[in-house]
Amino acid sequence: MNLAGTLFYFLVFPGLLFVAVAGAFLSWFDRKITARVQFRVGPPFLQPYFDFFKLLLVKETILPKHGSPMLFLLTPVFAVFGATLAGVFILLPLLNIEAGFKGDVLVIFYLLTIPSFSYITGALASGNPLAAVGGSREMKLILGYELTFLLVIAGIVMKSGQQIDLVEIIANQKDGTPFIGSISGILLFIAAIFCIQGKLALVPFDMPEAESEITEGIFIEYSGVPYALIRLTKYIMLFILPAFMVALFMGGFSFDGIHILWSVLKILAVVLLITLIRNTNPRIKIRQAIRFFAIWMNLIAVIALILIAFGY
Amino acid sequence: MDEPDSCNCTDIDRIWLLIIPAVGFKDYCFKRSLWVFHFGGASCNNCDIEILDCLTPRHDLERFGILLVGSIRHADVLLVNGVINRHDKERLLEIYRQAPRPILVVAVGACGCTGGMFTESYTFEGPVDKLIPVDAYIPGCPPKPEAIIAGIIKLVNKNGKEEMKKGAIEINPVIGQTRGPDINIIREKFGSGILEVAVKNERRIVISIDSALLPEIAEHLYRTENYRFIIASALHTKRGFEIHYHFSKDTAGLILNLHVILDNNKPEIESLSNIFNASNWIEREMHELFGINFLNHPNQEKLISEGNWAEGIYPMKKTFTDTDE
Repeated sequence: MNLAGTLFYFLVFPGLLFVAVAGAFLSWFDRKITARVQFRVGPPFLQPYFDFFKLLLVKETILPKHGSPMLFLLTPVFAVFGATLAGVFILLPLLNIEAGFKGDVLVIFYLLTIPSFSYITGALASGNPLAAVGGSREMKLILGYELTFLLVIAGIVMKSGQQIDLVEIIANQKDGTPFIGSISGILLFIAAIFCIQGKLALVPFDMPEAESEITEGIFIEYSGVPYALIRLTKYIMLFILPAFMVALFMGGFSFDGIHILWSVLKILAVVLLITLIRNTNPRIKIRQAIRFFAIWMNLIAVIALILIAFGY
Repeated sequence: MDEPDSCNCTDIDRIWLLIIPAVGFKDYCFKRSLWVFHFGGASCNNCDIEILDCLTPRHDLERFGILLVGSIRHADVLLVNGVINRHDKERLLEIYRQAPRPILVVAVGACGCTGGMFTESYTFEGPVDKLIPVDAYIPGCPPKPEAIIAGIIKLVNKNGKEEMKKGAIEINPVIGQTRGPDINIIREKFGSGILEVAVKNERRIVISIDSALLPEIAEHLYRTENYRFIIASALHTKRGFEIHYHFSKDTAGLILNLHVILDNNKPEIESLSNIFNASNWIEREMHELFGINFLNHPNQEKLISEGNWAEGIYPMKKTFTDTDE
């Protein structure tokens, strides 16, 4: 493949521009649903774009006095790049553009942790004690959910007949039933939804950025352009993680006729589920979160693995 | 063949029309996405609750893109309410210094705008605009959520391109302009009843009057001068029962107090509740706590202490002896 094509994939479609626009739409969807759950009207459709461009174009960027300004500024860029790269690797097979490569599921798994690690690094580089608290919480949260997420992916790989590339996993589901249509699939889906909730740092797992407690925690010192990039990463993650779920559990997308509608509805359904979880739960302590993942979610995932081994 | 081409061209032109006026675009994004950081000074909590009310389902400020944020680094609007005392002053200045520009400052409530009834306190460090430039004042004690929303909408509309460059909007100096004529008219009209006029600062005047003239002066302020009755407060000192009637002229940001001193042995004054009903319950409460008799008051029955205090015993009424001197 030539360089121009790669750059187009990365920057325009299905890369940065596409995932950002789709993610901003989903961010609006999330906020609108939240508002409707609380009997409010909710923000206008273009609100995520207003927020992003305001931070990018209008607001001043303040650098931390005590800390490492260079690292502080670089980490949001890393976050955007990691999220976009993960998005490209997820969406290329998912949108039937290109097949991807052998073992890309594992690469996606690692790329999806880059935003979280960037947040931690940025928080520690800011020199703010509350950011350090948020960073340590995010670290513990990663320790909590990553094992579960790996077990979920292992389950998917087992279900699809030891295939570790996304395009094969999707093809496997298109031939038979989607993985969510079996008992083990449902158990894995439950575990995966909570992992996503942790990855997006949404309630009940929003303790790294608890705004009423440690005042936005890891993002406390960010303003202006770097914060705009962090918001952008959040939009992107809100799109690519549900897209990954659709690829792993719901048989991916298809683009003939009415199936386009189903594809969009699948994404919206996953986001709706995440939004409803975040609106009906309180924030839990970090100790409870680790316990939740380390014991209960891992238990569910292991049970699912055993069920898969027996063919359920 | 030409037609589709021209259509495409106009479409592209329209897209550029949205993007080219970059300053307008920036301005628009800023207006549509105001994130608010709430600084509560030594507040009595009423303004805080009204501010929270704005975010509840009934009013829902998120419709306009307004969010409450936890860190000043993310804020576009610094919302200040409550009295700024010595401790708050340092913190307010520090918070303002840490805010990324452009930052808009909104003073909420009587205390934020003028200092309210705490202006003479020895811990008072001045209204918000004495410390930092304020862009909008929302008076009231507390202001209704509707008033807060109206204030923020006015702020958004005021915030033009020129101001964006400066970073902060200059204060509109209407406040205090109408002070002189007001007092002169009152002086001319009720010359004999005015005992003392104390101008505390450019937006706060205390007028001590003869208690017999209170209804006339209050009616004049209320009906002719368009003052609003905020509240009344009473105090028992050696001089007698002192009542401050707080009036506000919201358009001028002016607070005017009518101060009367009633006799220690027989505290009696005409009720104002026949002019405006707002003073009904506060007078009833004063009667209950101090034993001040409000003449022609519709209902002076006990309001809160029913059953707890014997008849004729008033909790806030003091007994002064010579040793108090």
